[in-house]
Amino acid sequence: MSTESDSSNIERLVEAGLIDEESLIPDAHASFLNDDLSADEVDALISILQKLDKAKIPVVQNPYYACIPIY
Amino acid sequence: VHTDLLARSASARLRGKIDLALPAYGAPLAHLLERPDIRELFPRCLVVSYHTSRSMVPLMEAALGHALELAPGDPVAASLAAYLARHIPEERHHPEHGGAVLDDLSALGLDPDEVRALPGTPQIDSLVAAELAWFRNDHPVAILGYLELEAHVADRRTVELLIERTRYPRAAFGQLLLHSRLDPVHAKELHRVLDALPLEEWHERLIGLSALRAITLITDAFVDAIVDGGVAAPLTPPTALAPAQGELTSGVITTDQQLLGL
Repeated sequence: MSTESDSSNIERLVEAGLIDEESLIPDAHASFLNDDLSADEVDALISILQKLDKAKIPVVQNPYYACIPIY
Repeated sequence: VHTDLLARSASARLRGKIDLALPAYGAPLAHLLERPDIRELFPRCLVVSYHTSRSMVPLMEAALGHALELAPGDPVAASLAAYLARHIPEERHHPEHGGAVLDDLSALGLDPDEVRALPGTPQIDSLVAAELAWFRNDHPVAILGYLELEAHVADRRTVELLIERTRYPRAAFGQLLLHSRLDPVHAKELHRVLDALPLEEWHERLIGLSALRAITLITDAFVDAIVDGGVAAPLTPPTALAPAQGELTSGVITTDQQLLGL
């Protein structure tokens, strides 16, 4: 797994629009991001956002819209 | 931000990671529902589902095999093996791997043999390869990240909207309808298992990476199916299949707003 520093995870997630501004992240959530989320996981998230943007497919916030069942 | 994050259980932490990805994961289906050519695109998306479906039980069996090997000296592997031994039979919906999705594709007018003969979806092949590598090199508990997707399937109302918009017969949505009912139950059981396993930090990182990789690659595959047809592009779209009349909804649900619970 990647060895990038945890603090850069939050910066990259904010930049990608996956989470709110860094200053608005509660301490508990920041701890979760810093302690549990690897840089590889951040890479995976950002890559799909780039793919959707290139395809001009907007992301959604409605949790009822999930992906097509897979099995 | 998922409020369960504060609970700090393994399943809550995993759901927190998944929450970050849901806006992307839900995008292809939301986009599909708005496309005027949804009747052409939906079968191509279902081919991606078929390729995923046909690999799932063999993948879980591979994880079970690795878990059984590790089980004598590894309590996580031992509990994982017990869970997979229970869960694998629940996912056998047809004698042929992926056969239940093939039945749905047949209801769309596609020839099952033509679907079987298609090349595999590259992203699904990559996902299977990644999972197998994790089983072999790290730990078979990685499979639980992939299985977390059972907590994020299209719900019944969304499937009904899909039926309405595509105007395909309900017989083509057998697996979608079934999983809208079964997978939330499976997800609860998975979360119970996650919280009962004696997971260490590296196990949780592996499970999270597996879940996010699955979301990334499956979303990627559906985007390709929508944009250029994916590997199913050579198939003849079932244009001859007449729109189903009188079976679009049960009559109970009548508007998009009701279907989505808005």
